[in-house]
Amino acid sequence: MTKSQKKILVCDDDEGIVEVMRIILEDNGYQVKTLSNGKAIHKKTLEYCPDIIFLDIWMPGIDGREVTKLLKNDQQTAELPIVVISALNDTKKIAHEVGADDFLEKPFDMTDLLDMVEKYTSKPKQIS
Amino acid sequence: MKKTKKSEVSQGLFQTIFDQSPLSIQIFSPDGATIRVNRAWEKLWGTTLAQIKTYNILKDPQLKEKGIFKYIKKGFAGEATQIPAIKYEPQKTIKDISSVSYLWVKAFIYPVKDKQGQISEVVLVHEDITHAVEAQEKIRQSEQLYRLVVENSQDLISLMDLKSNLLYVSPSHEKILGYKLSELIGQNLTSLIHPDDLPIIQEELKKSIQGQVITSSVRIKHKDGYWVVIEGVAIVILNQANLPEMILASSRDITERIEFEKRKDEFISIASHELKTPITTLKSYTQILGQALNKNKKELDDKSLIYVSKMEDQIVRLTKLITELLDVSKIQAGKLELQKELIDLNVLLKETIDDMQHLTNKHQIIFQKGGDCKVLADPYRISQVLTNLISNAIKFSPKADKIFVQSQVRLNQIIVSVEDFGIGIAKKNINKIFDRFFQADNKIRVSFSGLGLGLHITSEIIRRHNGRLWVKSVKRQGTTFLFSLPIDKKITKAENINDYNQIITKNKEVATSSVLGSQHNFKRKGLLL
Repeated sequence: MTKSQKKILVCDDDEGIVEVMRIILEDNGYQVKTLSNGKAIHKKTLEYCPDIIFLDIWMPGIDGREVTKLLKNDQQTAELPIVVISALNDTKKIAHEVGADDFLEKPFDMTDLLDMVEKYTSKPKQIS
Repeated sequence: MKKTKKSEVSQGLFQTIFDQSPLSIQIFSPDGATIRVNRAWEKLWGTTLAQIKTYNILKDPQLKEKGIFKYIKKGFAGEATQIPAIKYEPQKTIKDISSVSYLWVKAFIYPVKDKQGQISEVVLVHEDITHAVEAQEKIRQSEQLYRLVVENSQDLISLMDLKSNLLYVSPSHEKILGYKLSELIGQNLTSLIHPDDLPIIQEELKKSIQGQVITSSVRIKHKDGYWVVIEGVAIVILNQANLPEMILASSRDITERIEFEKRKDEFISIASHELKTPITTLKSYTQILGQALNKNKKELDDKSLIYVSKMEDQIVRLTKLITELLDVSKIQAGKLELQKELIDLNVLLKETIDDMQHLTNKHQIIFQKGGDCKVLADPYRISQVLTNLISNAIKFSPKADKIFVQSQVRLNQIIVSVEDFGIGIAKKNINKIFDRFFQADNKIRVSFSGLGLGLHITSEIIRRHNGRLWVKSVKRQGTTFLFSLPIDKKITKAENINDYNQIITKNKEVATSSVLGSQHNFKRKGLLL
C-alpha cells in the first residue's frame, strides 16, 4: 500500500487551517478531502472512505462533538480513527469525552500532524 | 389646750411630709393663685414660690392649648382628677422664670374642703416622667429607623424559625423573587430552593443553629419559574435563656454578577481560541517554508510567495484581534484617547466604504450621501466605527448582497446608518449587544467568529464623541445600526484651522482635547515640528 493511497478527511470551518493542512498533507503524499462544516460528514465519509479524519470541535451547525458521536455510533464508521483538532483549552478532555481516538491542540506542529497520520494509517483499513 | 397641741403636732407632721415628699406638690387657693410649694416642686421646676406670685393656673394659656384645662377645672370644682401627661414649657408662660426649658409631667389634682364642705385649697401633685417619655421616644425612633433600613433595603432580609419556616421577609423579596410577601410568610424556605442546592443549605443552616455565621450562595425559584442566585449570611438569634430561637438571613441577588462572570470566562476561552486559530495557520506556513528552505535553498518555488501572503493575512487577523483586546482594556482603564480634528464626515465615510468594498466580493456597499458637514471628531476612531458596523453587516448577512450606508444632517447632528438584510437580532438580546463580552447564543457565536468586542468598542467611541448609537432590527429581515455625532455650529463653520483655533481658544473645554488632537495630527502629517 503506497502512501498516496491513504486518504484523509479534514473538517474545519476555518479556511486558513483547512488550506494549510491540505498543503502539508498533500506535500507528504496523502490524498486530502476537506469539509467546512459537519453537516454532510457522515455521507461524505461513506462515499470517500478516508483512512483518518481530522475534525475541528467548534463548527457552525453540527459541531465536532456531535460528529464524533455520530460516526462512532455507526457500525460502518465506528472503527475509523478520528482525531479532534481544536484551539480550545480542554481539547484533550473533550476528545476523551466524545470517544475520539486522539487529539491535536492548535497550534500544532507540522511533524505532530504527520506523526498522527502515520500512527493511525499504518493499521489496516477499518471501514467496512 | 390638748386639742390645740394635737393640731399643732399634726400641722408640723404635715409640714415635714410636705417638705420631704419626693413628689412635687403645689397648693392653690380656690382662685387659682399658688399658696405653697414644697422643695421637690422647687427642685423640679427650678424656681421659687416668690417668683410665681403673678401666676394663676386658671389663666394659664399653655394648659388650654395642651388640652388639659378641663381636668384642672374639675379639680377646682371639687373633683379629684388624674391629669394626662403633657410637655410643659415654663418659660412660655412666664419669661425667664426657670432654668428648665421643658418637662414631661403627669399630675393628680384634688381639692381640700373645710368643715362646711367648701373648697379651701386645691392640691396639685406632679410626677416628672421626662426620662421615661424620652427613653420611649428614643426606642420608637430607633425602631422606626431599623424598620426603615429593613423595609427599604435592596437586600433580602428574612427571619426563620429553626425549621426554616419564614416568619418575616423584607419587601425586597417581592421585587427580586416575584412573590407577594403574604405568599412567602409561613412557607418553608427549602420549598423554594433548587433541589441540587438543598443538601448544602440544610447542612449550613444546621451549622448556623449551632452558632456559626454562615455564608452561602443558593438558587431560589422565582415566581415565574426561573432561578435567582442569591448569596447570603445567616446567624442564629438566641432567646433570653440563650437558646437558639430564630435564624436571621441577609442575602443579595447575585444572578447578574454570576452571569457576567460566566460571560467573562467564556470570553477568555473565545479570545484564546480566536488567537490560536490564526497562529496555527501561521505556524504551519512557517514550518512549510522552513522545510522548503532547508531542502532546497536556491530553488524556492512560486508557492512560497503565496504562503508568505497567506501568512500576512493571518498576521492582519491577529493584529485586529490584539488591537480589539487593547482597545477594550483602554476603555476599561478610561484611557481611550481621542485625537479630534475638523473632518468632512462624508469624505471619511466614502474612504472607509471604498476600503471595505475591496474586502468583499459578495456585498455591494451602497453609499447614500446626505448634506455635507464638518464635525469635530477623531477620524481614525470614526472610521473604526464604520468599519466595525460594515464588517458586522457583511458577517451577519451571508445570504444578502447589498448593504446601505446613509448619512443625513438633521438640525445640529449628523446621523449615519448602516443597514443590512441579514439574520437580525432577537428582541431579548437587543439591549445587550453593546455590552462587553456579549455575543448572541452559542450557535451564532460558532458560526460567526470574533471576540464580540466590536460593538462595545463602537459604542464607547461614539459615547466619547457625545454622540448616540442605536439599533433597529427585525429577526430574519435585517438590522440597521445608526449613530449620531453632534455638529457644533460655531466650530464647524470655521473654514480653516486658524479660524478653528481662534474659536477653540474661546472655548476652553473643547480646546483641551481638540487642540492637542489637531497638533498631534499635524505632527503626524509632518506639518509641525
